Amino acid sequence: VREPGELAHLTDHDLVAALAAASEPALAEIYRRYGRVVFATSRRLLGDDALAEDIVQDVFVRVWDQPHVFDERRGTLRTFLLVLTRNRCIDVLRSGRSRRVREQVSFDVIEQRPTMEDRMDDEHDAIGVSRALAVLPPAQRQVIELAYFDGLTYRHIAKLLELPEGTVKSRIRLALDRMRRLLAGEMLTKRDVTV
Amino acid sequence: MTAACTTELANLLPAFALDAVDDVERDAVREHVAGCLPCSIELAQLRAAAKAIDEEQPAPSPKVWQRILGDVRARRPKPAAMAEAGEPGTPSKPVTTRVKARVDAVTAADIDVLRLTSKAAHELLWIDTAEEAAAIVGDFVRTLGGAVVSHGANDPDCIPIDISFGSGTPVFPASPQLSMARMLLEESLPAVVEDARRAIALARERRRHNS
Repeated sequence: VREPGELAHLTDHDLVAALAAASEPALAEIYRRYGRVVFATSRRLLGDDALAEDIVQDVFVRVWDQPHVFDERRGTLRTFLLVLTRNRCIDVLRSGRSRRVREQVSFDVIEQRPTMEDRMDDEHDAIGVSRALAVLPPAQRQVIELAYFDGLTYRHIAKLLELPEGTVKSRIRLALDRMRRLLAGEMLTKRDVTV
Repeated sequence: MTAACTTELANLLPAFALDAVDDVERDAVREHVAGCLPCSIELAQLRAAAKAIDEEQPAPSPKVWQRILGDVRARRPKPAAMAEAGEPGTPSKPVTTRVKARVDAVTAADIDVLRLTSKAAHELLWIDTAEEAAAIVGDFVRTLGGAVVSHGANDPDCIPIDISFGSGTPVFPASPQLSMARMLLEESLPAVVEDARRAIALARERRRHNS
């Protein structure tokens, strides 16, 4: 379900409305849009692919079962899915099913965020760093990850990192600009190769 | 070259592209971008960068989607499960009755499928031979985005139902697993195949009666 389907033109709001009518194509489109970020977030929190896939299954089945729980006035569908994901991951960590718990690492990793160095070590060891994020300086990468994987707003990130909001906004801008230039460079290279 | 926008909202575009703004800001940025060309251009570029993060994340195994589908189908009964058409079965309600029962719970995509299902059922009323039924069902499969192939049912893309109906070399509907076409076929094809089998049986009876 990575290819855009015939419902690709619908908004998230329309897709959730279609779920209420038991539309499998609508669920497929939502999965196509957000399956990866739900999986990536679970994987980062649990450090285990199989558990992360269980979370993905739980989250999308939950949305299918209870589409009305999503309230557009309280945030986007993406944010809603990430909240569900984090809650389910916390349940799993508390239940002792995860590798981290078996290794007696406290689930405080959720509430007391690891240092940047910890995160980078973790990811290099167990998860791997995506190429787009790897080009970023640690300070920029940190804010992008908090926004992307944790679904935090720039205000929340500022509070968490004890930084001025303007600094967080400018780090996000610098990070995306850098990635944008990287993408532009890649496209240029591809064109050069094909011409 | 388009002049850059100097409003405060323009500063929120990167956070907006990452969905890292609150609801009030989200609405304000949406409204602003709708009427500001420089911001709409910049936002498109920022979104492309944000999307690159998504594209680079590892995808869950394809089995996860299959598990999700299995779960949701078990939770909310869907009409015409694939197994129903695996073998010629007992007569069931005509397609039109089933269509009516579903009308309250369909989406735009379903409506299109229902229209095609009804069209196929109508055409099957007039067939005289299995070849004609095979042609109608084959068209139905292709219209939904599938293919009709003659290689064996070992191919995971094949749906193991012979839609030649004994009129020649066995042929099977095929569509990549997890594709939208596959999903639509799995839901709608059983009813059409069942109607085709009944239409062929009725045509044979007519021929016997006439001879």
